[in-house]
Amino acid sequence: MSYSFVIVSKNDSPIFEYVLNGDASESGHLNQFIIHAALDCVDEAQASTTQWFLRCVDRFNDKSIFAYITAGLTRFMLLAEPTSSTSIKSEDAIRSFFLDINECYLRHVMNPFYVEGQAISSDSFREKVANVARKYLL
Amino acid sequence: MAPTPLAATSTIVLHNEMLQYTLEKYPDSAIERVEQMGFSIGLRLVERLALASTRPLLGKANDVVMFICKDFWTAAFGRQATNLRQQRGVFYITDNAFPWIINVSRGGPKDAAESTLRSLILSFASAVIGGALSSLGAVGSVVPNAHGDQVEFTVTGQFMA
Repeated sequence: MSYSFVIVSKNDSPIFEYVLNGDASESGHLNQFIIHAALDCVDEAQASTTQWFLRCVDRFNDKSIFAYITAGLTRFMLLAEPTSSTSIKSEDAIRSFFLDINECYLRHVMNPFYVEGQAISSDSFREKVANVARKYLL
Repeated sequence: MAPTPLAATSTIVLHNEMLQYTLEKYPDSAIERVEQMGFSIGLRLVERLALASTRPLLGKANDVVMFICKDFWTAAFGRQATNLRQQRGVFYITDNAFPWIINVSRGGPKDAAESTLRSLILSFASAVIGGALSSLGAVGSVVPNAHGDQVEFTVTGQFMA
């Protein structure tokens, strides 16, 4: 089970990327493409629901993309790719994952030196994301 | 992120000191700086509030403005906005006793310094509201209009839906 997690800002530019369990070099670029293409589906889903968690917005072959939108219209996209060993985690686990990531992201955004739309290059943020991913997605 | 209790007057003192400092140090570009500050503060405040709120937020203009008038107003100014009027796509949010201005005197013709502070407070407040709106997907402007202690904010803009 490999996951690609990308945070996309309001202006459709990626500000953070994290890969769990996957081989980044092998399908990394394809995953980025798929996630980018799924942004349209996120916009559609956004218009139809008032929830933050947008569930599975798109599918590509056997990969599913889950999305979550924050108040500032920043999108968290998670691409789940089933490998041979395990099956996809439940939607509840993914929802809890997104909620915890929202907390981490919130703390990062509160920093007055952070400009909206800037890439997130903080190591501690990356560590927190890694911990949350390990907690809910493994 | 549990909230810690804080005296209401401390935020007002902080704002006033900050605005006076900006006025003294950057007399020419005070308004732009204050607006920038207010904008980013509005953004962050909305990000924080949205996690805690149960009100539907995304999309419809009415939902967004209702959120601003209730949850956001309570968080930023300590109470809910008094009145909301909508006319042809323009929203008018009125507050009968705007907390940030209530202790600042109107200033007559001989008291120019205090009325500058007053207008600076109003631009700061409208920048905070503007930042909150922009974070929720609205592109537009917030114009304050004060009659004594009663302030009316005119919100024009395009919402997401």
